[in-house]
Amino acid sequence: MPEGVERVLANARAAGVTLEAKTAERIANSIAPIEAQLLKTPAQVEFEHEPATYIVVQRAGAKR
Amino acid sequence: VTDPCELSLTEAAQAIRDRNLSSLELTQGLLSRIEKWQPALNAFVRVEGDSALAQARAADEALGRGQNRGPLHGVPLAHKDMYYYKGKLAECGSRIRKGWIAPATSTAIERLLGAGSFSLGALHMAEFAYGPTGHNFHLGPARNPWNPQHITGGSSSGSGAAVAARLTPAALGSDTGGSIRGPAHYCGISGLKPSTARVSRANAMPLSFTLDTVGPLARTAEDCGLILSVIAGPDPLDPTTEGAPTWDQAAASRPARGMTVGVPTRFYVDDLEAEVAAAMDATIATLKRLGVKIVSVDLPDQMQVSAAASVVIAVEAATAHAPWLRTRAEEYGPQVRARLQNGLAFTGVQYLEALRWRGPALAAYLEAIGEVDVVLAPTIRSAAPTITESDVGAEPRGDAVLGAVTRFMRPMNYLGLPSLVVPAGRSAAGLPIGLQLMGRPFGDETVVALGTAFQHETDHHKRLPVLS
Repeated sequence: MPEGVERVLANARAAGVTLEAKTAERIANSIAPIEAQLLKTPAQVEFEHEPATYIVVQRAGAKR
Repeated sequence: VTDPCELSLTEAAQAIRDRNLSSLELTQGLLSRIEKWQPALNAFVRVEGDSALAQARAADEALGRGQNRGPLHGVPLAHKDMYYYKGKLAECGSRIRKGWIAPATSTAIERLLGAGSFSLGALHMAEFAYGPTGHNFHLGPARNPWNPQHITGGSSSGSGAAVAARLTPAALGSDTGGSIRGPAHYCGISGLKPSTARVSRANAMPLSFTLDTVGPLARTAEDCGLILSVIAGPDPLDPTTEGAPTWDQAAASRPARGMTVGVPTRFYVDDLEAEVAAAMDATIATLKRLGVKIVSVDLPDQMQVSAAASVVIAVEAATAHAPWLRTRAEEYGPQVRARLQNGLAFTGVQYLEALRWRGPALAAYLEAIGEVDVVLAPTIRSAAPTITESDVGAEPRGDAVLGAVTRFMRPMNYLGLPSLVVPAGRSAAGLPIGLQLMGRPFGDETVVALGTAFQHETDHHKRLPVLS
């Protein structure tokens, strides 16, 4: 079984949802392009950064 | 205009206020149109005719006594079936919530009622607002008034169809990945996805806690501004709205002259159908005539932004639905179940990386646009496809089909920026094409002002579908 499929099954099981192997394979194929894009982000985020900082940027960027 | 149903929301509200039109006349006209169009469009899930007529009479009597409840006095409206009214059905386009009675009323609805409007009924939507085409496994598809063989877009499918067919002067939709803007584009109307935190989401059905927004679909940009002026502003029931600005009508009425509009050099201009590209060119020419300065903007990688949005939506939707995915999974339509299951697959680290990057991504976007007021972009690369060709269910090719619909819209949800869709052209087959006016943080008034100026110069928003 491909690694991605095993991970999907394990994550779903941890969430309390049982999936069939063919469903897990579909999911693995479906999310692979998104995961590839997401891999680019960590290097762009400062170590100290936390999600709520978004609000600071949003309010600073307002020009009404 | 002799048919009151053809008035814009702003015009209808003014006519009722001035007693040139009664609420009863307008309500009767809309109910008559609903009866005629509903079999072709499937836009409504419930029509509340008797109640609407009674409230119209009451509104007229109140006005006769000099009692004006607010800027929407006597205006009947219908909304997406995910906005809760205490004690009434809110089925969210689903089988799981079939027969569910809401325990409280949405803040947005409370404010619209407080401004004098009342309910005409509830509108079709994608199951749990998780689908961009207007297909619904349980309800059947909503149909596009310009050609019922074509989709409306979703998830605010009924809102798009009903406003375009003049069955309601305006409607609330919701937009988590394009669900207001897609139907506005495909159905030839205006639609405003507001800034994150501008409008309370309290007691509206959630899809993604981070990215959900509540906003209007209406004939005109001015109408969208009127709805926002009523529903925007802080609400203790939605803490994300704390400190957000209230509506500034002077800013929403400012002239376009002197504004700067950015036109992207990539991503938003890739792979467009010729008709959409032509609408972009024509709109740029119109904006120049209005005295708008046009500049090119080189945006950061928006594919990456779109991917981060996809992770946030997928995980948050799966989290909200996890109890039902464990126990009632077979009650979802196949496509919605498959998309919800996708969200189970991401790890906690991936989700938080996507969430943590939101601030830096917005900062990079703002740096790229500089002093630009509004970025002009297509909504979707083509006009509405047919219901048959976009009915992909849970097939593997569905990712590509659905992704093509949401591609140009998801970045604004992730960045939390306002985006107004205005009709700007049509395809060779006569189907509408809309473009996005994408603003700065809390720049909702600016996109409304620019959209209003654009619509004073053009007549795309005045075209009316004809029922054949």
